[in-house]
Amino acid sequence: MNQHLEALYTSIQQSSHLTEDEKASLFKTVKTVEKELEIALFKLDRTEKVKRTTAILLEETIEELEQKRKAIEETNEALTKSLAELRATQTQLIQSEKMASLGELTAGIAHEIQNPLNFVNNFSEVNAELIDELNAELAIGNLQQAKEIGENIKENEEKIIFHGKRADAIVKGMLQHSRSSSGVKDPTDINALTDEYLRLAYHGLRAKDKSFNATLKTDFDKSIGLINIVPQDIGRVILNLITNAFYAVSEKKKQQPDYEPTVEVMTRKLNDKIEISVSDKGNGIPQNILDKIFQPFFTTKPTGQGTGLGLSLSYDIVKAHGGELKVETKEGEGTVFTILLPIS
Amino acid sequence: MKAKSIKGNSPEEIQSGLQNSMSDGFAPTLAIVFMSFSQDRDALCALLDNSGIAVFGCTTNGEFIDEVTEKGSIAILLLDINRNYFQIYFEEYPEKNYRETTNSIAKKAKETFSIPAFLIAGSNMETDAEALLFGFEDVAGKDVNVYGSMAGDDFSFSDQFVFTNGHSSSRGLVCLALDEDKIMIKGVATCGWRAVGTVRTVTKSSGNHVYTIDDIPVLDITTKYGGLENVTPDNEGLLLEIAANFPLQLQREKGDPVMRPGLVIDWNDHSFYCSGSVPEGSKIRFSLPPDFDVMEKVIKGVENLKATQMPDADALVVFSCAGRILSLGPLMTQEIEGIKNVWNVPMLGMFSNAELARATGGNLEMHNLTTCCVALKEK
Repeated sequence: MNQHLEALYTSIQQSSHLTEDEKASLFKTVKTVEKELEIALFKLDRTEKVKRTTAILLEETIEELEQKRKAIEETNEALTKSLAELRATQTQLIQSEKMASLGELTAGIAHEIQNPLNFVNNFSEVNAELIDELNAELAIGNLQQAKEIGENIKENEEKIIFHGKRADAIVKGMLQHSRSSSGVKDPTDINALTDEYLRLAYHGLRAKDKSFNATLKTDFDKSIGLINIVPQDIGRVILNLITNAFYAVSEKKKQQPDYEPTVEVMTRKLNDKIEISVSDKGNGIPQNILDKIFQPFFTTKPTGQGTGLGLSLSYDIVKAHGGELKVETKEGEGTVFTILLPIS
Repeated sequence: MKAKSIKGNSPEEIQSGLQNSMSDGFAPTLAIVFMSFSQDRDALCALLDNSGIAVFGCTTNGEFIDEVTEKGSIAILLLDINRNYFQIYFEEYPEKNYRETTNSIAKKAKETFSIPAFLIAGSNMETDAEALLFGFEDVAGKDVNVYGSMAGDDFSFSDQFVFTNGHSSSRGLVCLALDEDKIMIKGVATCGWRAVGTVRTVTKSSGNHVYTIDDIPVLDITTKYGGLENVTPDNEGLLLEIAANFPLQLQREKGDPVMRPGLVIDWNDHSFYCSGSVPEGSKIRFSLPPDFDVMEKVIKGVENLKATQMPDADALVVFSCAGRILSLGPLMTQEIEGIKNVWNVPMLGMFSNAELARATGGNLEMHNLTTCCVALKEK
């Protein structure tokens, strides 16, 4: 028994002022206090033990947390490095995709430049002959005739300048297409841009495959006017969709010789946006791959014929313009890709 | 079935208690006896035998019939159970043929009862108690009801005994087989210990000899968690502290973990021998010294048994690990009182060296630091 309780117990025992009943009652109370004290001491001891173990666990947990923090820091550094590498690779891939699409355009561009060059060459040759004639007329003093020849030379020169500028525009467009996007939006004639890429893509394909032929249908909404876009970026999207459409119809033609390949490009002005749609009457996209077509590196083309980045990059470009790139397809009947761009 | 529990500090006191209990016409046929090994077993068995009472008995590390725990005494649960509803088997296993022994008992019981249940007590600290359980399972199936304990010896860890009318053994088994068609028996083993820290792996062990955990000697890592000082062979209280407060908690794929306290330290390599097997590669967690809610968990476990399986009981038998006295100290009585209040029927309990039962959701296993409550009811 606790020594203080024991002293109390003895005092009660020796007391002559207390009755036996009172003593019994007090002894019972002392016993109860003793028991409660015993439990309290036990609990205190237990609490000390728990405290000890908990402190050790806490120390260990702090140590583990510190190790984990370091590990996370290292992982973070590695991730940052990987991210930088990934971004560099992505930039390279985008550039590769541009160059790949440029390759597809090369034949078309050559065709488009050849026409103005032919004019320039022909009219230059004609002008050379006319200058000889002019000199001859001047030598004999026939000024009236010389004046008429001079007028012809001038008309030809204007044509040479016109076609020279046309070639210049095509070359500039090609350079712009291959250059990294400046990200600067310029007021652009969407109909002209679409038409230009449609022709370039068509002639490009024709140059590679003489047997390829397709009916091109255009339906441009002239009320669209100029809208603010990054022209080389949207040009790439349009080119990509048209190239895909040509590929789809040419594949169907291979399977069904009687099939008439048709690609239709349409522009529309809606309330606060414009719509550019490219539709083909190809085989359509199977439902099981439809949700994958905008994923990077996904392609159904044979190895070496597609990077699998075209639609993925197109999707990103349209999104960056605050627009939407949608697809509707029906197996065996064709596909419609629609670009929606805000006017503002 | 009527039941009464009595206790005394000598066979004479028991004789007197027995007479008192029978004065109202109560005629017990079976006595479950938990007693100190210092008491005269032969005299006790003789007096019960004289009254025509079958004996199922074992020595203990303490015994109780209510919240007041005793040491060095005799405690008995008397039952007037129909003699056709039970059988008592007594076998020794000097050849350590544990599984065969219980296998044979189970076969005999199956010949008498279509669905037998078993209350068992084994003696000797070398006994592979789980092998005893497997012997019953082999014959009576995985779902067989087996509950029991390993006998104690007032913490002397020298000689433990099991006994029945005319037989006593320090290396044997006493088995009470019950006809489950007539007697309902349900039990639950609950530990209530809390686990701390992360899950660790036993990296080297053999049977119950555990060498390393996560390649650290088991003694070093256990004492580190316990914050124990003076970890030397001279520290006499160290082993008791480890055994009572810092058992390894063997994790199970299903069911509650099983406690495996260290009982003997090998100072050569700082390994220790546990109370039961701890397979190499198994997962363990360390224990926090039991909090005060540990008793509440045990009581809740018993309340749940009542609510889900055993709404009424005629009698209650409790096997509580001797280590719990050390761990729970003066609070132990609160746990026993709480258990008794669940059915408020005559109770008999003992502090054992190991508990044999099925933990919640687990298989039949040997447990430590656990309380196993078994309720009985005549159908």
